[in-house]
Amino acid sequence: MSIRLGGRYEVGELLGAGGMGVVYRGHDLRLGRDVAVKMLHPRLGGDELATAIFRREVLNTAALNHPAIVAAYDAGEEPMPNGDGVPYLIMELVDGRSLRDFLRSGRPEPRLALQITAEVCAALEFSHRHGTVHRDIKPGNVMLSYAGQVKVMDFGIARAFAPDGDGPPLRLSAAVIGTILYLSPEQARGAPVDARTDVYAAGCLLYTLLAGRPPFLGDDPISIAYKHVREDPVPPSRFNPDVRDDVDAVVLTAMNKSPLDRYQSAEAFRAELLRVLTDGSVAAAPVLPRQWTRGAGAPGSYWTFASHLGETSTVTAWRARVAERLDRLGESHTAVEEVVHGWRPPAVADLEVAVSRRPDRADGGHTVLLRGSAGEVEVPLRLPAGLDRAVARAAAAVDTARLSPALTSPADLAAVRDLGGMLFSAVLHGEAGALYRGCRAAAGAGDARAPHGRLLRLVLRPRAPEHAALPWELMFDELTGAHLALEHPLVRYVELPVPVAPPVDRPPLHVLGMAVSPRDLPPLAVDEERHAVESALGQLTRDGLVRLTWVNGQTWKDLQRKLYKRQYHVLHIVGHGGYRPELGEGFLAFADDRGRSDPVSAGDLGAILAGQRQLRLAVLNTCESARGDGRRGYSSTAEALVRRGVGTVLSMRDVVSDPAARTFATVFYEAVAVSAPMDVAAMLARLAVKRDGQGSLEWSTPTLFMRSTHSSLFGTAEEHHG
Amino acid sequence: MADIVSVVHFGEPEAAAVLAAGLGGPGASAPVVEAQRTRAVAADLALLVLVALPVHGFLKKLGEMLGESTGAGIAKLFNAAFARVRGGGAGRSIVLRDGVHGMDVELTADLPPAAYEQLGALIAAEAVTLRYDPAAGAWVAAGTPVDPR
Repeated sequence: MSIRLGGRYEVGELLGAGGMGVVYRGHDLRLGRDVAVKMLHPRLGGDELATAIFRREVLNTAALNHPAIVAAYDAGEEPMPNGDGVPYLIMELVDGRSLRDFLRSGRPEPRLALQITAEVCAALEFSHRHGTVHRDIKPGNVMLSYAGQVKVMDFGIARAFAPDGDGPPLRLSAAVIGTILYLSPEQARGAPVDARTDVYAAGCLLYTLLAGRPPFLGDDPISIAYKHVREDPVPPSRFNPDVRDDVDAVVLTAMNKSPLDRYQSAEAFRAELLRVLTDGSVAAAPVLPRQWTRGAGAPGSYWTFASHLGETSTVTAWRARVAERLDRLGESHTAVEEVVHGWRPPAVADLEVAVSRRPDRADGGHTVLLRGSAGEVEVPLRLPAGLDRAVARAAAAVDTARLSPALTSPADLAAVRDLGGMLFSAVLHGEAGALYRGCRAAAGAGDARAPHGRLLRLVLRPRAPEHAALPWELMFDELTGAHLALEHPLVRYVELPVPVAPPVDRPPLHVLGMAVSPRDLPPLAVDEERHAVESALGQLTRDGLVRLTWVNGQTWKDLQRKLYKRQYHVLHIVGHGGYRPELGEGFLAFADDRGRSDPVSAGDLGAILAGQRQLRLAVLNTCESARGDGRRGYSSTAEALVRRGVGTVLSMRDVVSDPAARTFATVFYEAVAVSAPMDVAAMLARLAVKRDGQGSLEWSTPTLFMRSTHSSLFGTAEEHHG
Repeated sequence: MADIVSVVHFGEPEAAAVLAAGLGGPGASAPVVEAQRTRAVAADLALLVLVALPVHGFLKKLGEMLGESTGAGIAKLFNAAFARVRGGGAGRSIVLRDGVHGMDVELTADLPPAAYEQLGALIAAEAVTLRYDPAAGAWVAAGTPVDPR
């Protein structure tokens, strides 16, 4: 069944995806024409900042009507069942391809490169006249139609400015900003930007078209940003003998480090390009060739590099390591970090929810103690009659969703909401509810250390096994109409007198993966998950900050042999698993020597891992790894590892579908790779399961057990120093 | 019936097609959906019939559609599906899921018509799993949830 927006636009095939948005082919049923439909990237759904940026793109684009700018036709918000709106933008469908794709087949002739850049400048000239700086000019944001028209798009991070430089305050410190390969020196330094920032990026664009490679390459984003600030580019003629000296001069003028020494407007830059195209007379100073006789290598594997790094502005590195490098470079850490990484992990504030037996009550009554920034309150635990039936009904709803999200019925959604409401009211009623809302408001308002606000993290401490067995991840707030685990990092804190794995004090972080798919069980897409994890951690691996290795083989002995060799910090297991009610124990399905299923109990897995004293995170991406019997404490496979000292265990409470498990792991590691704390990464991954799975209820299955409130995988300065 | 029933199969498309045709009514077929693969070990489930009605209401309607007041027609329909399951359906089950209450009923290839008649007479409205006990000649609830209170 096709999706229809606003009752008018039918959404078709996916045309492309960027860091923040996805674009689909669409059809306007009213006017009978094809259109492009841009929506916020599913994994950013619910992200207020990303949504705000997207809405701003809608406004920016709508205000710009120019032949060289992709036209905006319409915009709206599609209401979701939870009351949220999903913003979308209806745009002109350009019959062509982006310059990034165009460049994959080779660089154009210099004349065409100049013409394309002149058209880009025409678009910029128009947008600047209307008070908008694009800030993200790059090949991926310029379309070239098959009829030869140039169209600039993606004004998502554009910013309004006043000619005197007193524009509205910049609020993008936590957002994706620019692309490293086209980043101006003033952006890299965190200095104010203006129209000349776009002139610099357009100069970089022209450079790339002429040379077949961007002006600066490097091993990582930091070094590229540094080169934009400090190094002069090699003239493009060094890479392309067809580029004349006067063209070199125009490019390098546009790319001058000082905005004062660049063309002062896109209009001036365009005029110069047109002069070169018509009569060859150039106002720019010629380049002295002797500067470039050494040190410039031939164009290397740029497109491979660009596809993995250059076009990705959110690639980040281990922050401590980055700070160290920036210190060496003598740059401002904050400014460069924000620009280069483009994303800063959110700060969190905790609300602890402890459920325990009341010592003054002989009747087994339980109490809920809440402690957060807005205060402390104790209320009785109020589990309603019929809770057991509601749990079973919701479990059936989640199970139906794992068969296929399309089978979920309104009755299923209602069952999950009803149980979620019961669980919410059990612990957050009366004064407890007021405290929750107070803490939430306080966290959102921020403070001196977190001026953009904090995420409120819920730290659950259900001490009795029967309470720990409840699916608290489903808690639903009737007032806001939202499940808490989709908006808050939600952690099950495990209190045990066992030492927890220490923080990792120096790179690399050793990650061990194991993928098992015994031949007598339904095959799993283990290779896809393996690739997704490798891809998510790819940049950190290339930077030498992470070392990812995989167990060769599928038997428990293969795992054991690998563990003999070194201490690992992260263990990721992909495979089948389950829970045996008759034994009260979970298991993972390894393979035997013949490739057939060989169940290894949770206790035995704990013994296999007993020598791993550095294990900070275990991801058990298998079915029912978080399931306990509700009668004894710590009876799940995940908790068996926690008892062995693993700091954090990410596990699955229910039977989980292969696609949902894979989506969860992919987004979890992608988020961790940009410095998100593990609990925040899990929250983001839940949302991805819900959105990518067409509203699948499987978002509730992942369960995060932690032994420490420090949730950064890489460790923090605070943690290292106690 | 086609609008209130979906047949979900676990690698058994032929059996699903037979059952969907039988459940759809004259000239219609219930929708067939292939279940997503899971990371679970259990592999004894062949088909799952998801019904947007309580089970007793569904069986009543099904009996009416088949023109039989006894369980024989219903047993014949499910047995035809079991016959298309690999290995003749031995050791495999078809689950009937009440999409209103979340109740599962495990059907096996050897169920007598009387079991279907008993099932149609049960007014069950809880998310439990029912299995037929041939010794007792009755349906019993398995895995009763733990009351956390």
